[in-house]
Amino acid sequence: MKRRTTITKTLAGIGAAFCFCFFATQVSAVSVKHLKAPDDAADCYTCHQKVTPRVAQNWYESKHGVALMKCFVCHGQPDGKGSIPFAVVPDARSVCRKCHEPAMLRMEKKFGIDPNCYACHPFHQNSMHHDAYKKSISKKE
Amino acid sequence: MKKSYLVRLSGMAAVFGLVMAIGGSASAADRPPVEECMRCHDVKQYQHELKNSAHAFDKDKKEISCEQCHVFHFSPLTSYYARDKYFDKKIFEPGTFDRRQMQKNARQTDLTAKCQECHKDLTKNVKGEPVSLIGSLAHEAFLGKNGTTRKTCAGCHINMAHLPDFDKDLMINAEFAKKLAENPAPAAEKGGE
Amino acid sequence: MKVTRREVLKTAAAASALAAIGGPLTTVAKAADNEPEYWVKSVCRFCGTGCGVMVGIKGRKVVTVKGDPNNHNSGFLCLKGALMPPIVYSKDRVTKPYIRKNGKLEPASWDEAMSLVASKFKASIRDHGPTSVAYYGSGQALTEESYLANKIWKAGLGSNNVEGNPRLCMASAVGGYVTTFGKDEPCGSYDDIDSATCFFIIGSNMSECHPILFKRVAARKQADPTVKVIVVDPRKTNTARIADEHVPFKPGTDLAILNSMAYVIIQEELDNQRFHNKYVTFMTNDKQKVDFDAYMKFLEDYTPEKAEKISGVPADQIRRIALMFAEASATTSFWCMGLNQRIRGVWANNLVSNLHLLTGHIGKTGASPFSLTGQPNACGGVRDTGSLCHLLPAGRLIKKPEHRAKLEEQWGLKPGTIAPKPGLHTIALWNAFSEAKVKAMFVVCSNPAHSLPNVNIYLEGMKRKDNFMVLSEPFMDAETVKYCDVLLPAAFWCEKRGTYGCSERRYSLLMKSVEPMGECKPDFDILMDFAKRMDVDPKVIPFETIDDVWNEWREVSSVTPYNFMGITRARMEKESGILWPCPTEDHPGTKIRYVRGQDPNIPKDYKNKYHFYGKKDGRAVIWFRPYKGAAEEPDADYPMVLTTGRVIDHWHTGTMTMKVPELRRSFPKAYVEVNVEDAKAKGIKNGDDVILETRRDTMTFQARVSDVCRPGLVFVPWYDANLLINKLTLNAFDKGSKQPEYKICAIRIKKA
Repeated sequence: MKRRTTITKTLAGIGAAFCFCFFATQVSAVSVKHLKAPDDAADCYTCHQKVTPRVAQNWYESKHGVALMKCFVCHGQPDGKGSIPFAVVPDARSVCRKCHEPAMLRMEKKFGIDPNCYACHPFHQNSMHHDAYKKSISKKE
Repeated sequence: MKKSYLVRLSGMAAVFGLVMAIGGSASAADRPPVEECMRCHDVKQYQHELKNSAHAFDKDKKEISCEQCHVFHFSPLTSYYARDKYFDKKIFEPGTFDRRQMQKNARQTDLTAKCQECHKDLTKNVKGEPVSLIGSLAHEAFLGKNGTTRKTCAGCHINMAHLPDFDKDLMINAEFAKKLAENPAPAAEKGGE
Repeated sequence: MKVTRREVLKTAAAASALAAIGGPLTTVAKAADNEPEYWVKSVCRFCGTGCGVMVGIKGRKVVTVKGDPNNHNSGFLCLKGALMPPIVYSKDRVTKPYIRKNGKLEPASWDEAMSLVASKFKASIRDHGPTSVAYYGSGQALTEESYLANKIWKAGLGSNNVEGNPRLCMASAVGGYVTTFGKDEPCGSYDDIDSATCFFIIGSNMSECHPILFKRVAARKQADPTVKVIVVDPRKTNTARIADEHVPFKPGTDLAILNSMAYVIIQEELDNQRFHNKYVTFMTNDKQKVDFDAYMKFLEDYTPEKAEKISGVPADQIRRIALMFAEASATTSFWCMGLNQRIRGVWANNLVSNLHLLTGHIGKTGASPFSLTGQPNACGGVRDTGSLCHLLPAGRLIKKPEHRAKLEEQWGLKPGTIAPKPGLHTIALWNAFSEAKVKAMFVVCSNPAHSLPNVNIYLEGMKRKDNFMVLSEPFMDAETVKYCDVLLPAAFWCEKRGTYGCSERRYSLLMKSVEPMGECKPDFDILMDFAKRMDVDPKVIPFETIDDVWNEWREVSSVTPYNFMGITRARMEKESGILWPCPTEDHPGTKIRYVRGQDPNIPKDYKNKYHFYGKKDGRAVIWFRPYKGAAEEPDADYPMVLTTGRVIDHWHTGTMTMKVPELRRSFPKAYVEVNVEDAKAKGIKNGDDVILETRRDTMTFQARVSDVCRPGLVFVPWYDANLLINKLTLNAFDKGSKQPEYKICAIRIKKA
């Protein structure tokens, strides 16, 4: 039983890694699945609270949401025309570091170098964006 | 050898199908479609949600029923078998539904044709009001004119007629959830997730 | 057997990290390309919070920024701060001087441009006297630049017409602090946030205008949910998200609410008698010293029930917030433009300080009346250096002969050099310029064609041919560029060296990170060049580098309670910001003023713990400020109220933030925020065009229908150069501070 769990986990991991690689190559070609919108259409959140409501709401209820650190600060622009490269999974060394370098150095000291903050602090999930002021309702599963 | 067996089988199926189709459709026409569905699918919970949703009525104030959105499946073979064994027995019980998986399937299934029976003009909503700028851009994307994005209606428009518990906390569903909370389903018929 | 989502994520991340090492991943590779070679210490270019930033340099170019972990922001940046680099390399940068010829700006050489400027200014002084020339500066110019300009005009040219946009932003706070405490600038520091148990936020949308401070307040509230947050604002902004009490009052009636809170505090016996008996003077509006009983009598007009009638805030809520304020162990107030940009701005400022003096929530950690500034160097650059028409450096006043004499002595100038008559304040100055009474204007680092209230009349004035405006500006698309006669290419932010002083009396050094673009020059060089061409007495400008200015300014401050003698350049290069007063090099800086043992201006053996040395008797003042309405109250013709403000994505006139693609796209154009009820009554839907009409102009905006504004109020952000909301705003101003009332004017709206 235990063995099966490990296998499942590993399989899931490999699968996800493939997805990641796939995404990464997608990003390089800036052919992200996204509609083309003129500058004055809306900000990310306006649309994404409809089309990806859970992700949007997790952000809104997170620390980043309360402090209004908006989507584009970490993700850039889907058409690649932003000031930072578009990334579904932002690069910790260049993005997270802008604000969280002291914490990153602290963690590095404790656990060694792991450039992927999201290994332990997945985006839009509790540990990084944990509930700001009350038990966030969007996170009960 | 194998091929001829298949041919024979399909021939039989065709005959069966014809018989069942005539008989089946005749009996289905006698009852409202919802009731017809309910003979096998215990979907009272879903019906309750539908009644409290934005899709409770169409623009002529007529109640919207299951088959207007869902593919009204009528497979002669399975139905014959099912009727024989399970007719009026509610084989699909609410507790066994995995609504997360169902939602995922629904978002990936192309029901566009069904939706567009009512929502023909994508530049207007069903009341004839023009859709927002974002809406029209997204609809253009759907028509392949503007970027690449989801190709099904349900890809963006979720929780339009049903609201599983796990989506009740979403801010965009606040109104729907409130309405459901105000009109609770009869306790006995409360379904699973 | 069940794999949780978290486990999948973890494994995925680990696997992808492996993949990253093995294969070429574009995202990772791209980021590595931008790995800076070294970091240079600086300060954020945006709001008055004054966060420390480290500028990442690669190949002599700015490639990224990160927060300075040693400054007050502990390494954090807000979304604007984190996205600064593209602004430096905007294609809209002005890279060479221009002269307007036949209505068009034509490129020119520095020498041509500066000779023209000098000849125009000289001619103006010759024909119309020194008061016909003026300087209009900015809370974004460096401290040294403002100090230098102030000295050139007041001591060199003999004109006290030195003004700047801080008049539009901070003047009422200056007036408030000076009337209450006798000295300008807040007495607490940002550190108070970490120990306050109650936050009283009034007239400030901290979350969008001072995001890093709001983050700190929010973190405090998160760490201890018993900490109370009161937000008094007619709009339900993002700041109100963390509020225990949000008070959406009728705009302009906050004076009644503040007085009513004082009434409740006294009625509930929550005032600190020992404190106000010993350290407070009660003073009526006409400056009569009276006693506590007179104050109680004055407050009888402001019972919660009476205040409810005026403000529309339930009497119970007023009681609740008054109790929260007074019962907390340490209350810190924050306010900003909501109180300052009002015709009763000084009074409103006084009334907040009143609450602190009444309850004794002052002079201890976590308790202080704290006015937030809007610009990165309004405090350090303009208020402290006295670069306004009625001030001299370090809190001295032009109208006082002894102040002038002392400064002339410090500057080594002959007595009587400084003209005894204060100059024209911003609105009067621009009125005079529009009537061509002031002939020549030097505008530095500001965008008056966008930011002045009731701007139409000033735009007409700027178009005139018989006045002359020279503008030093980094961006070609700034509104004022359309009207200036000479345009000088200014070095921008990290292209120059100098000091910024933020809201909390903190001076930080901006080190030069990269060379100025094209022919751009720092304003220091421009002003020095100008002064030399104007034949200003060399004794007035004995400066070689910008550090010389700083050192002189330190000397000048050292005999005043400002005193930052100890903030040397060497120290500033090493440390990330020091709070004045700081008299010696080994002094750590002052977190709390007016307290024995904390404030170096008070002798260690002083008899009392508190000493408000700005006042002769050492007592701060509780002022009796009655409630008076706005300059233009809504009426039958214009039944609603218009208020303006900011969104988090843009800063001031948007000349900088519009250069960042992400920020521009987030809020590409101004809109009008309408309450759901008002929208319903007028048949307005989200996205509809709405016509806004005031007595001054008519404009059309797209509607955003929400419950942010209270009914009867509409809000328009002011960053959009294509939709200048200041065409609608009112230029009535506070009689004390001369700050205009941007925040309230009467308006009517209808669907287009």
